[in-house]
Amino acid sequence: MTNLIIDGQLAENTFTHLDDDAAIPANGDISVSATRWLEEAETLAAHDGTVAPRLNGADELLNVVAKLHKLEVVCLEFPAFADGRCYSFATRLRRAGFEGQIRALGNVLRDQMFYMQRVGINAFEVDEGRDAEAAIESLSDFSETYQAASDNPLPVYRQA
Amino acid sequence: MYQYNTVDQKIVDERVEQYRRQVERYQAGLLSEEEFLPLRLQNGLYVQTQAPMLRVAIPYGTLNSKQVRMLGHIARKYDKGYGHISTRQNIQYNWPTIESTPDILADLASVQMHAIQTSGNCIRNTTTDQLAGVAKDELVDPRPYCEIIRQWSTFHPEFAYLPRKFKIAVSASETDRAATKLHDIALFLEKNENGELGFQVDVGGGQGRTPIISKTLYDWVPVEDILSCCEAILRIYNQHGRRDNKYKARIKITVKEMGLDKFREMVDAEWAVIRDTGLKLPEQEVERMKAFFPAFPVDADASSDNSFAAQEADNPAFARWVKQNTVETKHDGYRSVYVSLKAHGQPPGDVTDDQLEAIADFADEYSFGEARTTHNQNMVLPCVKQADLFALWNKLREQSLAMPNIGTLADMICCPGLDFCALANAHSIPVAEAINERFDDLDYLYDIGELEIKMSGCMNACGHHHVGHIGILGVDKKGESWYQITLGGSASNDASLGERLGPAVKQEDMADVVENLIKVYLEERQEGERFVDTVRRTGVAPFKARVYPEAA
Repeated sequence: MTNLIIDGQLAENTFTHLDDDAAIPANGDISVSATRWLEEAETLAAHDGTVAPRLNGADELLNVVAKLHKLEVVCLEFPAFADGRCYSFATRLRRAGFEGQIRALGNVLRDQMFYMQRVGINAFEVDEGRDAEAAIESLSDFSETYQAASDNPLPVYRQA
Repeated sequence: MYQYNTVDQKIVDERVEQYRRQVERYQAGLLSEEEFLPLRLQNGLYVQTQAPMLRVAIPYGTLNSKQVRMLGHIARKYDKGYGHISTRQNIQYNWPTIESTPDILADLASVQMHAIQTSGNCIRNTTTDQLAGVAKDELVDPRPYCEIIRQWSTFHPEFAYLPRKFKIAVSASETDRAATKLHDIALFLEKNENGELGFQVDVGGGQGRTPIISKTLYDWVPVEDILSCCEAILRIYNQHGRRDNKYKARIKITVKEMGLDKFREMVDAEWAVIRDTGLKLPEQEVERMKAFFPAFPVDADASSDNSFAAQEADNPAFARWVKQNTVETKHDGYRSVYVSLKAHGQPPGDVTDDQLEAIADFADEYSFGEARTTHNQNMVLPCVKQADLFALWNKLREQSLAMPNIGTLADMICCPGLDFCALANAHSIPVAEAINERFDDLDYLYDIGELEIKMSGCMNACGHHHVGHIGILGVDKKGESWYQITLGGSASNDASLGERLGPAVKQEDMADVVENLIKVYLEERQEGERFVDTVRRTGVAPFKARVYPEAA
């Protein structure tokens, strides 16, 4: 069963997340580390399939922001659920005008998804062994929010 | 005070339901211990030595009587009949079961309270002056701004998994009563040269293993830009704070390692991008918040009463309590009353269910239905008519809440220590008790005057020992509790860190040591000097010589 949620719906996962030493397949959707994405930019540009840079909080986001207009998907990797750096990355990506998919990978638990959704993450690869379908419910844990975020630029007191 | 609207209520109600489901999943084995940990922490639930501990938020220390009564109810129904006021104006319960916590949170939600973000690596309860709104020395009431910050920080989606916990305090008075400079962000409401209200913004204060006094990041920020300023600081910290070592993860270390100028440069750049967005705080929102905190409807003739002066003259014990435990307010004929939670024989800051209910009744009868908690672990009835003080004093005495020891040596800050806390290395409550027993003569206490003893049972410094006039840090030596002493710390406007006196001393010697320190002070002090002033003038040498004669 799929572990992927896109825009609140279960979806088939077409992506392969490649390690840095893994060969690039002939075709198909792939993600590569931010480093590889920069170093092998020319080769990857010719790839038959979607190529997504995969960042963790230690990477330099500005390199990606500079080429956002060419991207359909950006992957944000949470090495541990307690590592919250990529929440700020998602905020910055949406602020830069990125309208494509921002996908959370790694230690993605349903209890984090409401917050992730608010900062602009719209696709979730739920941690292995978890029930992705049940996790969808968590996206509607709250019906009201106080502060401005990527999902709503207005704080509660400016909402009608 | 602030009243929830339907949005606020819905948010806390939905939180209770979310948490209830999380507890069910945890109990069904669908959530591991490790995964449940941050979830329960962000709902205030710790696992301690003997039982779980639930920390309930008291936003900026303000409570109405209904809420105080509910805190008493929770102590009675789910705990062993008491709670503990923390140094961040919250209340902790030491004995609830994990299964009961969703019900406790539901009870709290019924009186517009919660335990949201009272723990975990997120933005914690915003604290301020317990005398807010009535203090004679305040520029404006800080609470509307605290409430604005509370709403901005509550469930902020980006800042729930910070490198470490994050504390904000706001001060609006000449005398800082909230230990503001020991906070990650310290906000001081001030007017600029044009008379416009804004904030001095400090960052990087904190205690723990590496105590640091906050440094000024911006001299003055307009009110309308304060949320964008805070958000910019948090965003830089979230991305650049250290995550490799929890003891170096607070923003104080980020600022120290990066340097204040470099840190400011990064905040400046981020702030410029977000300053003119939805984060701009409109004047009408500030006005809306201010309307929740109107001045108390006081009786303009309250000071014309003569009974108060007569009662003081007739009753020295009452006069002593008035002098020690009450302060004038900005309203003539009204005083703020400190409800001392430092009676002998009870751990500092503990308050029972009956006492809480009594305090709720006193608030209704004498103080416009409001009560406060203080970072010194006492409570306050903020605005009491002088003609009512005598009656209130008698009722407080019946509840053992009128110990006239506020600001004295007996008004200690003390963490729960080894008796309750899983982190502690040493006992703190028994040491407080031993010191209290030694100094049980009130006249002697008053002669000693203002003296802050602050004690922590481990270097996490929950008892604020770094900033005690006398700081006491418990350490473990081969299974025994020993104590390191520091002198000369302060958490107020003149914030400073204490200087280490010498090697650690044994638990049974602690009362002697404190007594020796006091004797040196009484010998050395000059006219008008408090203990801390004498220490600052003489240095620690004369104190050291008395406590460690063999080393001299």
